[in-house]
Amino acid sequence: MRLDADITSKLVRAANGADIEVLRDMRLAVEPGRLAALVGPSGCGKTTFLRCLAGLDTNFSGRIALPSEARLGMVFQEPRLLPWRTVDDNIRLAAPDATDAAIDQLLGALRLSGHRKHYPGELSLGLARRVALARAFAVEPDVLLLDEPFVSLDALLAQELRRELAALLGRRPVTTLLVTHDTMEAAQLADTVYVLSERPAHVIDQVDIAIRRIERSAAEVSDIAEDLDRRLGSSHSHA
Amino acid sequence: MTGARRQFVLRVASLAIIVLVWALGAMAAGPRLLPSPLAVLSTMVEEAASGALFLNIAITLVRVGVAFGIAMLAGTALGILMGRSRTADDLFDLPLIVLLNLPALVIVVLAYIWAGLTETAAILAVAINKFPNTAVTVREGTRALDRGLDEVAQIYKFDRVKRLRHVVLPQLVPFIAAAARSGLSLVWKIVLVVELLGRPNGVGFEIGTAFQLFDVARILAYALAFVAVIVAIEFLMVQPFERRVTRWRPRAA
Repeated sequence: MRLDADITSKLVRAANGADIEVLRDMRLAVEPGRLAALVGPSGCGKTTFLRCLAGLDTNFSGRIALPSEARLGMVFQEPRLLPWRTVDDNIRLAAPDATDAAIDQLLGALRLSGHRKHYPGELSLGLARRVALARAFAVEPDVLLLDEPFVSLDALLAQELRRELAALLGRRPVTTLLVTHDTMEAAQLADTVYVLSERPAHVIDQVDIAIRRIERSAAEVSDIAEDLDRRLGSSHSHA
Repeated sequence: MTGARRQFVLRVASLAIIVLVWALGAMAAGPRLLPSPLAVLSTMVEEAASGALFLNIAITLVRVGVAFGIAMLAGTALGILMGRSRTADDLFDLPLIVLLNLPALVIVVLAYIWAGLTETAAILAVAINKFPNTAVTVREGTRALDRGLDEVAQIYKFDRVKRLRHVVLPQLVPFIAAAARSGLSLVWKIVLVVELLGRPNGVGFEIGTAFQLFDVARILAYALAFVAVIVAIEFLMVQPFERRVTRWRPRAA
């Protein structure tokens, strides 16, 4: 499914009652089965944009082409699991139509097979993130929205999870939008990177990565990341 | 001594001290004002042997159960509604405060005047006394619901029933349990008043009769037997239920 968004303006009410424009003329499209990454200065409105796409925030002017019957998978910055349901139940509640075989395979790929009967409170953050990822994939989503899914994990673990995400997407491509502040992460996973401006955010640069995800060498990834850093830096002279 | 054993010994000791103080008090005050523990026990056995004790306790328990059930259901529903909807909160807040502060006796007397000395009036009067308290407690719980989990439910298209059962109610369990615990003790106390004023049977009616005859032994026999039943319900039903629904919570060491 193609994801197409054109938000002309999005205001957020600040604590002092003033309206702040967070997004202006924020336009982007993700082709079916491709992964687009959004990078930009922190606090620029990436998460707000994702929430608009997900239908969690409908108070904006503009248009989002996403049929209401589209199946969404979303991973938030925090895992957001139901603490009173087991790992298994958390996944099955979100994806009641998933077959046992599909869930077995998913849990195996994310190395969660031994944790099915555990409650989220018994899991480490890394494991809880894996469960959130498993839940998002279990619904066989048409569109996958990832909001800094690997933030505050140690570098090694984040790397491992990125590899697992890449493997899952390799097996079943999903139209994906990944919000991240980490240009290495974007360079490693994205087919297209959108560089955002400061508030009010809009796309100031688009980088298409020609090399397929699985064929990118470490050197190529860090070259792409460096290029992204440069583009980010040149647009925010104060940085 | 292990923790559980220590607790058991201390509880038995505190019970023994109460009985001892009672016995000493009975000797000082005389059997007419305060009968001895043994005299109360023998009255209890007499009433039990005739079957009257069990019948009256059963009748009272049914009233407690029905009134409690109605109050918990209605109170929980209204509490969730008021916690979720600003309009409902503004609409029902004032009546709720009035009801909360209306003396139980007033509600009971008015219910009997308006609906007659009937079983329905008795049970409704008790339920109306309890339910505002439940509604207020559950409203607090509803206001504290995790919005993040609500969003998860929206993303994964949980329907109303699924959302209530798996997202909302588990978060409200501590609040509902608190309301249930204070509710059970409140409800049975009001049921006795209702029985005293307008029912021909039940523990409250028996105590009322004993009061007219100045039969303190019978008053204590009924009161203590009923308290024992309520304590048993607390230990055998309320606490295990709470443990069951909070088993996901990591235990404190």
